[in-house]
Amino acid sequence: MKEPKNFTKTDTGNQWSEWYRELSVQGIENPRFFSQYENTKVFDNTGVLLGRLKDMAIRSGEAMLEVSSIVYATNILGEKVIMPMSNVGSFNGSINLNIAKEVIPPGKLSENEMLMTETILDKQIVDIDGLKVVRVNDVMLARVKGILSVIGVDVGFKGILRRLWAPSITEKLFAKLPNQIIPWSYIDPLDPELRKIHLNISRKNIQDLHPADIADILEELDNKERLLILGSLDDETAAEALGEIEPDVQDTVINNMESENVADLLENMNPDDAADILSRMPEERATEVLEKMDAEDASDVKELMEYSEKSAGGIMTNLFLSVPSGTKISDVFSIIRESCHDIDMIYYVYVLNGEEHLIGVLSIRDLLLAGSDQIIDDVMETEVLSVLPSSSTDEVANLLSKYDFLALPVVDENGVMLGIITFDDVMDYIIPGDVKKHLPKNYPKSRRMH
Amino acid sequence: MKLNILNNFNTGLSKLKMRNIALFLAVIGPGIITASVDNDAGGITTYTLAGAHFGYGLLWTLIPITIALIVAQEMCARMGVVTGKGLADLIRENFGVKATILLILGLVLANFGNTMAEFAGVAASMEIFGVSKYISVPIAALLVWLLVVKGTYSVVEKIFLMASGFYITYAISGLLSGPNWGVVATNLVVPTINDSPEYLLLLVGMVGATIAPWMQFYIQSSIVDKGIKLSDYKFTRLDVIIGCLVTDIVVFFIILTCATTIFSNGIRVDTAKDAALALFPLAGNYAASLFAFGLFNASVFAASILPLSTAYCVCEGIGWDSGLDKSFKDAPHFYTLYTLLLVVGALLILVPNAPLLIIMWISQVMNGMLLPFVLIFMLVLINNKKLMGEYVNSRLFNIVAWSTSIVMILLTAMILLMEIF
Repeated sequence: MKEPKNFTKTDTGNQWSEWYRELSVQGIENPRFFSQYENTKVFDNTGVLLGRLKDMAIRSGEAMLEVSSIVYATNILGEKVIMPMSNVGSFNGSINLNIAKEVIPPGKLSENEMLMTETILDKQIVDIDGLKVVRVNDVMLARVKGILSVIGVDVGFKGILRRLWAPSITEKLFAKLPNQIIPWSYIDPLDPELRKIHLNISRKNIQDLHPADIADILEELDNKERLLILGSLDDETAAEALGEIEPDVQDTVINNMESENVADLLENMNPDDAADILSRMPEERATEVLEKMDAEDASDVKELMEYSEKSAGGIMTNLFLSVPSGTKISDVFSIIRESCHDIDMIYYVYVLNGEEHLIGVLSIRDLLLAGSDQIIDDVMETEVLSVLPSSSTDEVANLLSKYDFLALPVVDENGVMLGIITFDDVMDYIIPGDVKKHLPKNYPKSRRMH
Repeated sequence: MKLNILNNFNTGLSKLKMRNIALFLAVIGPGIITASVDNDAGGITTYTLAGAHFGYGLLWTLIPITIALIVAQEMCARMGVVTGKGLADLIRENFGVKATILLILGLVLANFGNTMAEFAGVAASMEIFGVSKYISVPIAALLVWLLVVKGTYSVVEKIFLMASGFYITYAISGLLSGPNWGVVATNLVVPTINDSPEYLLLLVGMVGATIAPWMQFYIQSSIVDKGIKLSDYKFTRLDVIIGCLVTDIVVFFIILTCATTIFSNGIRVDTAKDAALALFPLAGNYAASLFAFGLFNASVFAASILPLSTAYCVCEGIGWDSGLDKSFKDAPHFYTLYTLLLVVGALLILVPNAPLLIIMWISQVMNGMLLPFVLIFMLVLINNKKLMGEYVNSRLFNIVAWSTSIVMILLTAMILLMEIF
């Protein structure tokens, strides 16, 4: 993933000046803020005062958002007049039109024009880099190839100060306070319909983030925005991201979705996560969703829903790698290649007899070291440590940490294998959510991707 | 009268399908909690004095007050469900920076004073039980802080719902005081007008205590936090209506208790604490203790929600990160603001000779000055088709909402004038 240069962290102001240099290379000079244009006087070509600038209309140009019209009002409650930029003569300190007051046509917004105050100013942007939602406090404008265009947005506190009173004085008084600018080229209007949320990263890149990071972003947003982002991901990424979200947020998201889409998502989730979500739903809805799910996935999930969430059965998954006893080692490899695409934990191979009883286990390491024509029963470990579905999560955690296992098998009273519990499922129970938030900053980056 | 309505309502509810009841239980919370918190220390003092000074004379105001409360709360609940944004968010996006910042400044001032009033309530109610304020206030502040900062949303909501349940102590107090039900029923529906300035002040005070600006922000934020679906909106509406009804039934019992005991014995009281103390010989230890505990519960409850609501609102409006599910590092402004409001509010109560009355007075005035703006913003937003689509106010609802707002604004203006002159 290409890291966008982040101009929002202007601790020193250096990056800011770097971007500035870049702008002047492109022939962009003297950027100014919307707040500095706001309330400037508008005169007609004979110098008659018409009103003050209140807003600008924008439309997408070749590379940038171009300012296509200005909007001025004669007084606070006065009618707003929309004036195409073609009628605007000069733009220095005051705005002078090149037509006379008498011939001003009644302006209207065209199809592709939008008002700055309705689409950008004061709206939210999801800052994917900082994993938070920020607000646009001011808009940065400059002439690009002679056309006034939007080149960035200010999401810092200085933008608010500038909007509150005399922008030029604010600039002087708070010269030390950094501007927090996000260049417009990094901003992606996520939803042309709603016109209210933007991402400061292109959408195809959100797909490239780790699901756990997408989950962090989703937790920050409101419902409509969550659904938008989830909708823009492929099913698998969406499901993984949803699996990483705090349970109460999960429920909220799921509650607001059509059962059809919920079923699609749950099919792509680990059955144990899906079971947790379903067991928190009202019964009728859960049944409805299960009916819409793929039969095989649904039966996996149903099996797991019988167990209480705080027991071993509640956190186990029934996707594990098992082979029938008597299999040749070379055949085990082909079984893995054929059937393990959905299975996360393939470090252990569980050996089951005809009645599905767990009779042995071996690790991938043992498997690699074994001769290819040996029978699995000869190399497997027959003393298998397992837990019952009713065992407590604490007990499972203790066993996993004591023996340094990556997973533990779960068997019923008769020895029939039901599923496995992986160490990361137990982690979620041992490490409370707020500790996870305090992990070192670089932790997500250093995480092993599997 | 009210009880009958509630009984009919209950029998109506039993005819509902079990499924609907389950759905209702899932969305219940924000409406009931917000309406309950409305009966905070200041509110309870007002109702206590209304009963103690004018007996059943002010009971008739409860029905119009309940309607006004339902209208205001329902509009915010609807905006929260439809837009998925808090009220401060919407105001910032539709009215710009200047209006938002002014509103936020006013709200912070008003809520700071209100928070202090809650801690004053904690101090007063625990003094009835012989606990010094130097013990009760710091402990209450610490407990509130721990609950809100360390608790998860669902735990906090459950505890808040429990606190809402504790208001039943007032109903028990009221029943124990042995009112004359016939007279009560008449006074509930037949307005009695008394032209003394004190009567007028209490009447306006009761209305002002009912609809506070911060409640509108709080209910909308908590509905957004809970993430209620549009298709479940009918249950949220029920949540709001039940909350307002139950809350005003509590008010009814507070007035009732003080009217049957203090007023009919001709005793003069000036504070909720005096009233509770006066109840001991009149209504018995049991009723009086319940009454005092009710005040304590209400004060702690409101002290936990007010600073929280303020912090949410400021951060939403300015665009800082906010939310209890974030760490201090991610949302420093939010936590700092919340902690400051709570700690300074509690500390000032403990300062000997602090100008408490002046601060509370200013906060009441700020409340009054903010309310018209908040109501008008709400009405403009809820009638904005771009935001609300088909969920804009119907004509009838608009008539009710606008007239409620205008009456509220006029009454608040009266309070302000009375307060100032």
